[in-house]
Amino acid sequence: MKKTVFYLAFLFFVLLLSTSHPCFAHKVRIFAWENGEGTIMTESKFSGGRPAKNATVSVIETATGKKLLAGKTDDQGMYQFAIPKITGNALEIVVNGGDGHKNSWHYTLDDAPAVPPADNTVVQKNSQQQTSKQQTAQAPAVSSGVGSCNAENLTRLIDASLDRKLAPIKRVLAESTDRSPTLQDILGGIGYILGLAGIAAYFQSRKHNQE
Amino acid sequence: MHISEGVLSTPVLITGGAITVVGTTIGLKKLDYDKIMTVSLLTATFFVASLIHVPLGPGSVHLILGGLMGILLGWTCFPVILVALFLQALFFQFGGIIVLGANTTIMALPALLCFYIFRPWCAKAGKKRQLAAFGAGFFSILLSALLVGLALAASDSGFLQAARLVVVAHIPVMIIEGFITMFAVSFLAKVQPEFLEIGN
Repeated sequence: MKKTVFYLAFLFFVLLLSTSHPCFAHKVRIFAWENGEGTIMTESKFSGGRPAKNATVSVIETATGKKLLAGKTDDQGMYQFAIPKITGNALEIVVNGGDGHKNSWHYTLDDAPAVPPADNTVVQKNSQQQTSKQQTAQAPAVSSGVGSCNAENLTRLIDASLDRKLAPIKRVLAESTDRSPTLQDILGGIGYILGLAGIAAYFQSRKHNQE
Repeated sequence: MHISEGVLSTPVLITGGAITVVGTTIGLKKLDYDKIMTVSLLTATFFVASLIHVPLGPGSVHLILGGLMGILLGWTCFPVILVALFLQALFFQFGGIIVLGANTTIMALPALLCFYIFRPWCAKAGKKRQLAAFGAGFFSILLSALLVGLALAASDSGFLQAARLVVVAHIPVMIIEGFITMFAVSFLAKVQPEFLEIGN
């Protein structure tokens, strides 16, 4: 009797140990975001939340399937690269843990501006490019205040700064797309198993009756 | 232990699938009518065990309970593990549908081996049974890790590197699974001895 209690206590302890960590089983995942300085940051994690160290990250052009570049993650599972020139606007970022775990992240360059890092010193440019009506309307007001700053430079600065500021938010958003197993999943699975047992029992009983 | 989709080469996938089909057929043939409910209980246990995370070692690893399934179920561990892995792929996105056969082989083949090696020792109560159960838990994981290494080696990465990576990551699980299998078998032998009869 005492031993039974001991076993139960042990099992309980193991379960407790497992639930105290809000982390689930072994799967690697990668997510990527743009940090506003012309680079794409990627972070690879095992689904327990541990960083995937020294894993191979390769970047593949979705349109052509051509491998553009590859590298290894650091101790934090991070790997970053400058936005490459691509055909199309999508990248496939693949992480391979080397131990049979692999995952990918589809990255769309749609909203990511291909702007090089903006210098702190504002360079006056003779803008030949078309700017929208709104921008041209704003331009005189701004340039009168700041001096050597035209509308195009200003938008560019704001874009770059916004990207920098939004990078952490993009990261959190990217991170939150991964779904860990919920109670519904677990109960659903157990339900399926019981259902299968029922089906098996039904067929076996029919066989039983026919004999 | 769940190999992801798109890692293994086609021959490896086919081999794994073939072994799984053979094992599952034999396992279902051997499955007795009266034992369906106990077997499905063990399937549910295996299904959930992968969510129990072991916070040790260089990577994140989870319980597998392959040894326990093997020592209790014998050949029936094939259909049990197949069903559980299928549902895990469906609900938790562990592994995948195409690699299902390979993953089932990786976990069920060592379990079956452990059944033949350790099962005879399990018949007697006492130290011998505990040792056998520990061995089943320990070696099923070790052999599974080696099989993962082999499958990866046959696909592309070098065997030694892949095997080392997987085996090292699973050392804590081997020990923990050994103990859990030991306690579970002793507990079942005391409380529900009919569980130990399923494999025969």
